[in-house]
Amino acid sequence: MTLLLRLTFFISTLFSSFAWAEQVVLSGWGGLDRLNMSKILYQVAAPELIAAQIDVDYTALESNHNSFLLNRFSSGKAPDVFYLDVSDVTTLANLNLFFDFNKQAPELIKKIRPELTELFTVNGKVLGIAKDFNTVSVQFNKDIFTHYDVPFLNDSETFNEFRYTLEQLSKKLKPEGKIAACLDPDYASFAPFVLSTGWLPFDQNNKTHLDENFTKAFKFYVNLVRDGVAAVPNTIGHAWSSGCFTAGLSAVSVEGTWVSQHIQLNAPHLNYASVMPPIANSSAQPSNLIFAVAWAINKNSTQLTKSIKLVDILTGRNVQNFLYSQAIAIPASVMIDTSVSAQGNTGDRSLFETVNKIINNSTLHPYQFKRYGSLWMEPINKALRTAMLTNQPIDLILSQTQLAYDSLYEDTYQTRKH
Amino acid sequence: MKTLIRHANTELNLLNWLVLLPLLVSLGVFVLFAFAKTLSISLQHYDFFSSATWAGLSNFSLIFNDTSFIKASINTILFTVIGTVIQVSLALVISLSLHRGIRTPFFLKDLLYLPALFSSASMAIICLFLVQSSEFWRLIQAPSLLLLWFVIFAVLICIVNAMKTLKYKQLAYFAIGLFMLLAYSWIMPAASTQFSINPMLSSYDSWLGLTPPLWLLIIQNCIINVPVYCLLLMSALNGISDNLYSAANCDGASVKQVYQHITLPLIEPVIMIMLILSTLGGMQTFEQIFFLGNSVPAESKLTLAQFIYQHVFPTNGNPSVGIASAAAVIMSVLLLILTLFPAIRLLRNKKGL
Repeated sequence: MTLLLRLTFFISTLFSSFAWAEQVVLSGWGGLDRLNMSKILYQVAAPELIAAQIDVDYTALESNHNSFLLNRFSSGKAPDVFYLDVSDVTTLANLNLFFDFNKQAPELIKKIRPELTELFTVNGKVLGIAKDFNTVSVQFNKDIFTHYDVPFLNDSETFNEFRYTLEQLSKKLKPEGKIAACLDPDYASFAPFVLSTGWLPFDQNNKTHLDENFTKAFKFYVNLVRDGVAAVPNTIGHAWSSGCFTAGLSAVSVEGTWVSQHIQLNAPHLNYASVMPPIANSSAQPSNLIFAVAWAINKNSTQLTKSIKLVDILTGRNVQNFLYSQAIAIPASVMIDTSVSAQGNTGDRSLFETVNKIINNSTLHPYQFKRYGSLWMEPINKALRTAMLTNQPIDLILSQTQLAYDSLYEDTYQTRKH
Repeated sequence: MKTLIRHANTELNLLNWLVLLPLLVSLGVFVLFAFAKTLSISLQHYDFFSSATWAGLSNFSLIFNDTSFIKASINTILFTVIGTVIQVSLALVISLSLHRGIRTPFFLKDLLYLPALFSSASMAIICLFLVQSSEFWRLIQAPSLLLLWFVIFAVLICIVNAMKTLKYKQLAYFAIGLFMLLAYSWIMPAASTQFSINPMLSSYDSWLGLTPPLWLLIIQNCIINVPVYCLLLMSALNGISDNLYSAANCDGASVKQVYQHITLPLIEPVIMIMLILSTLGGMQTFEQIFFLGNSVPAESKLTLAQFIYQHVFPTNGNPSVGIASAAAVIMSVLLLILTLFPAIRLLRNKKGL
């Protein structure tokens, strides 16, 4: 009997290890992405996956995806297919571990918006097939605006008009324990404001110069908090702008399209609308960031053919249509007509329509920072945190930030390739 | 006969070594080899993917000129030293009180140990949740009311404790607790009457050189570790013979003299072990900081363990493993320095015994 049990265990282990070897390991973020990926893998794309005989093992990560990739690649246990964020492409490309779609699977590239593929192209190599993209917009709670008889925000607000609206709201909301807006002290939220002044992250010499345009936007953004019109989410018990918004603590938030998932889960009946971020003045050109995530393949994958087919399915019409119709993300595929309204509630539709307006009317800057990767944002993020959480003089903070950029461009060990 | 004894001893020795073998192997691989490897990488430029190149002492020179490393070192040392002093002192005061001084209901001793059952991760999240709440901030904002509330609570507990004839004392404690919680909600201002900002964790202010997030971690460590230390101390205190205290009493020794010449010298080895454990825990604190996430500014929670992690897995995807290893070597040296005093005292005590 014992022998039989041992034999059964041995055979089942053997079969399970063979089954594992046949699986394509796919890694991405956890949270809501895990839920969406489950729907895609087990419902939307299931017939195609079965037909292609692809068994997918999705590894969801709650923490830093970059750390996971570095760890897995360095130990030779990298996933076959994985998320690749637009901000990390240039730096991760140095590792020379990614499959080049341009050379080995050009048919996949044709399905994707060329401007998005461009973001994942390094030295002529296409390292990822974009799956979706995002921009930053301003969301507001229509019920709060209506209740206090404050006119709704619109798509062409200037800094002064935006501030005036928030001040009006603030006067009425503060006695009720609420705040007009929650603003994150980070570059992703601040970027549409600063870029609309005409400031560029890198000047002609590829250096960052915090000029008067930057100072103007910085002072505007920071003073909203310093003057009590807005608050930093952490100071009212929330981790991000959408946290305050869905909790009903703030009337306005500044977030990307990813906010729709958070709202659907935490405040499904929230009566909200979205508008384009405010611009510096009435003659300023609206500008925004473009965030994108792609599927990349480990070039040393033992399941290369199946991995390519999997990326093909995940960026195919069915999956991309699902992303858009369920108001999950703006699909990267050229096959999906994003001028048609997404499903979901009125708020979600307004959000997706606003993103379309932003794409058509704004100057878009990729969420990419040359060879510095995400490290480039650190000095600005630190400056925003310091200015929004302390009373240090803004000029002093900006001069220290400029020094931080000057030293970043020196050949320090943090930016040098060892 | 001698041959038999010698043979038995040899077998016993062999058995001892066999039992020790797994421990020796793990020590060899995970301590000695790992340290030698870290030391070797600290002298090289290495990024996981390219082959390592010789760097000499340049990694050490680079980090000593890096302000974030200096900041991380100062934070770590202060966090460890202050945290250790607070934890050991608290454990000493509580266990001495429970052992001889205060008459405590038995269930309170059990309750004391309860927080040690939580994992540090769950404790970190609970503390974060509590500290970030506006209720907590309101509590801190009204210190005079809080003090008044605490004094009344303590007085009521003492009165009940002193009433020797009172039956169902535990029920009385429970009733007082419930009454005081209700009283708290009456005394304190209502939660939603005014907008309140809780800058506690986001604040850049520091006290004794430590930022609010690091103080929060010290409090967390106290909640988790102090009960364990109390348990160790209580065992040590129970091991002291009553004859010694009786003899001291006969000789007319004062309470202070009893503590100074009997209690403290006899529990000194345990105190030294606590100092070593607490220092090790403080220097290696990592996961609790990790769980603070984006809730606090990155620079106000920077410790050496964080510095090392950030260089092995940097946000820009450009690992500096040599730099991280150099920082790890320096961290080991600091750890050695900080644990030297208790380790020497412990060894001396052992020799004395």
